[in-house]
Amino acid sequence: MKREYRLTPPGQQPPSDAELARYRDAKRLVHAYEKAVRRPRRPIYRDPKAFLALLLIVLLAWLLSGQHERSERPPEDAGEHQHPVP
Amino acid sequence: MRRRHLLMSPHRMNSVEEQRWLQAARSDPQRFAPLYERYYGDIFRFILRRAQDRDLTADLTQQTFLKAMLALPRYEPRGLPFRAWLYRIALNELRMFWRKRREVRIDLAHGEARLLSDEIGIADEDGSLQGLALALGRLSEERARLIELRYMDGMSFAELGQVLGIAEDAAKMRTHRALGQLRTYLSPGP
Repeated sequence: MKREYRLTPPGQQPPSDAELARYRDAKRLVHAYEKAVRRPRRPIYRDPKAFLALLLIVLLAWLLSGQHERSERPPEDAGEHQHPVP
Repeated sequence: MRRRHLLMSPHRMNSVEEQRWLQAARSDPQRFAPLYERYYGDIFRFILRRAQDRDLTADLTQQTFLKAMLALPRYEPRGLPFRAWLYRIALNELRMFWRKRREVRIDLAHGEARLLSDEIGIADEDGSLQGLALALGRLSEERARLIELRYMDGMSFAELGQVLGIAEDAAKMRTHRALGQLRTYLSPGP
């Protein structure tokens, strides 16, 4: 990225305390903070996109767990050699 | 005397008082205001020289403090003063801004340029100050950042190390190397 240093023109003044006070706004900051931390108004299950994503995740988890269960189960013919349960 | 004035940080805050304010802000974000009031000017000036536009600087400064407020529960004061931590956040905001703008433009005040030229040992004339500004642009980003923080923002080596995440001795050594390189760029060729 191009980097350039420029000598400030002699007339250019640094910001005065009055100007800084004009820009400084603690209330706006707290408002922005509260907006950022507030929970989303619409619950996730009512947002169609979020709901679909959630559904997809649940479906995938269910399929994977089913797959895992099947792979852990002993093969069916192995059961024939086992002693019968009285 | 001029150098001494420029290299002294303007605010040396009572750390006990700062700790009290930090604890209060952690438990209630509404009580972040004293820290905001205290450091707003420092961060505004730091950003302004790198963003030029005052309204834009006000937005970036506000964003810096908002990020600080949001990250305050994770902030550990051990080894990293709150002021240095704020500068780190401001620097990250500026990096994002520069990436969008696709160029880095930094203002160098005449007083700071003269201080730097004294340190390097070059003539204190307008032409040579222009040359100094050009030479700064030729330094690597890391070296230029060290020079900026030390000679434009007036940080001590300890603060400089805290902001950049390096040891104080390393900050000192790297700054001297950067000055050496500037001297090489500015020395007349054979």
